[in-house]
Amino acid sequence: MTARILVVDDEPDIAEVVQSVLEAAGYDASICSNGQQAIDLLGAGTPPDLVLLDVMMPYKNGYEVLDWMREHDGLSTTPVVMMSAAVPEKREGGHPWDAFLRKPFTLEQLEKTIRGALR
Amino acid sequence: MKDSPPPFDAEYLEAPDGDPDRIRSGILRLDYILKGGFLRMGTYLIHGPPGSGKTILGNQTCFNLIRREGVKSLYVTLMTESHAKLVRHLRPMSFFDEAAVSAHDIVYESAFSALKTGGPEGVLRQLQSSLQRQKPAVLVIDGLDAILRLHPSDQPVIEFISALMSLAQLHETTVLLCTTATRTSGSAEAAVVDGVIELSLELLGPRTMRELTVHKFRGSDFLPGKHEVEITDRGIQIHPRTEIQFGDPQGTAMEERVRMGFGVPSFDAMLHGGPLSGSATALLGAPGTGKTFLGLSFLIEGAKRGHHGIYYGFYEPPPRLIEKAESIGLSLREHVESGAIELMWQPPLELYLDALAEELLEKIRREQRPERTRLFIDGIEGFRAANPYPGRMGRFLSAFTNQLRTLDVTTLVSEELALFKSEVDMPNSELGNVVESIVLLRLLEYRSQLHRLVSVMKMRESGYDTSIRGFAITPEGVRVDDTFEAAEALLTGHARSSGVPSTSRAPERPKSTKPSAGSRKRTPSKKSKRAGAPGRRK
Repeated sequence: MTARILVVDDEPDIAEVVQSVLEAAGYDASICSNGQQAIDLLGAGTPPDLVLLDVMMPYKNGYEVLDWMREHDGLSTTPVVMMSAAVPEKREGGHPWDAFLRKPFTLEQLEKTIRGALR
Repeated sequence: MKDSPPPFDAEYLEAPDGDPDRIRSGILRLDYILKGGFLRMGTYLIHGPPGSGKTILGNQTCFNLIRREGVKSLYVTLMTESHAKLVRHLRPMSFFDEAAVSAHDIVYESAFSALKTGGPEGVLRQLQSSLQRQKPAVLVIDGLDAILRLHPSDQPVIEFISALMSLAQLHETTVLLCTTATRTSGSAEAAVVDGVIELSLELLGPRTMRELTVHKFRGSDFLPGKHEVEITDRGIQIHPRTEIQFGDPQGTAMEERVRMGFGVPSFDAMLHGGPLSGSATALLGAPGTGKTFLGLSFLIEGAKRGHHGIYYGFYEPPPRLIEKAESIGLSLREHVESGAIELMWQPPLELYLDALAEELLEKIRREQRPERTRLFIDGIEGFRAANPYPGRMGRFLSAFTNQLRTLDVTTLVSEELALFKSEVDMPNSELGNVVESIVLLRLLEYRSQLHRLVSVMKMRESGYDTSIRGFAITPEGVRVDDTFEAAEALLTGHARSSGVPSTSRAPERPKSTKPSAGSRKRTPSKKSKRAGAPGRRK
């Protein structure tokens, strides 16, 4: 069965390009451009199999979306891969992510990380 | 600010904030140009073509504020530029702080999607949310052009900027709006914002010239006109125009004036002991006339008297200069090694005129030495080559020498004259106006030999010897001989015999059996007034 991936990133070149790359790799990918949109989408429908989540975003940042997901039934175990240009922050009391992709990443790094997180 | 000198790098970054109504960019000399920095909660337009430094200026301001004030910054892009690429390009810069990015002290957001789906109102909604969440002290919006392209007419842009300014006031945020749009001069957005700063980028011949100009700054004075911009791994550096910084002389140094001799007895005698301290002397001469040797003698004599010396040159690196000095017995090395004389050298490549002046003046001001300072600028041509604007040199030299006087520096500056020209033609005629004294070195063709001559053309503050003398460079150093009385028209470089035997080192003619008409032996101590020579000044 085709895995469904939600790509959340305020940068359109990242979100759209990653979406088309994932679809070419056989995934079913959808996008949204900020943290609040992601929460609205995740709360409304069937949870995706994986969320690719940018850290720095308007309305709600990636960590806020991650924490919200971990506190919601149906999403608490959904794999989350964080993306950022910055070194990951050590978060006191925050929920852990499943993997971290440092931008800019290559296609190989993206595919390998997603395969690992979906296992 | 106009009454105090511009700040130094380290001292500026460490100094506590002055005016609480100002937000300092931390960009050295930008805050000086703005008379203390941006006004808090103001909205400023920064416009310039790609590559002019807007993104660096915006980021540098953010990172500096985080470091100095512990506040947050928000950087919002309206174009599709990747933040990862942006961060990668900023990483090599010394102001960049990885920890500040990781800790979200600076947050990068894109508002491109908001603009695409919701127009300027969508962007404002996003900004309102981000300002409320992040509470940044400064907001940089990079890519206002995206809105201008969407709405070329004035009204939507005025409304967007007006709403943004209200938001900024509400959230106590200072806003920098960066754009490449060229319509900004005289445009509606320029009229609405609190200030307009232009970063220009031009090709002048093969050379790229970056400059910053403040066109508008509500509520405050600023330094007008164009100022040089340099982008290095330290970020953006501004070099305010020398003549606007120092054009208002703050009086002269109050130190007792003393004579600053060269250590060449006959020459010092011509100058009645030497130029007065705190004055400037131009040393003119064609290549090979000995300007550098005379200048080095000036510094070495100063070192012997306990003065501090600075050699500032463009053509000879220090090791070669020391070697050259040693070839004529000048003890430059020992004074350099002791620290009494400093050698500063800049290859004459693509330099910045105001940066050169700044480097020297700041060094002298920062060190605040108790002993007197002598400065030898070996080749004012180096400064001229760094000046892209014809007609500016006069004002620059006036401001520069004024400031050296204020710092009680005794300055010697050499200028190269044409090698094969009879007339004494100063490439920088303005130099003659801004110095107190002028010394001329000439090559003289006489009886198939080349001789060197020295004469004092002017000494504004003192009397001087008007005679023209032979000048020699010997293995024991520089020597000034007696009056070169054997010829006339010396200053043309092509002397003709006056019928009187010379006491210089010209070769002896073969002795004939008949004494030549008018010949008489002169003793070195006799100085007779030559016909047509100006009288001795008292």
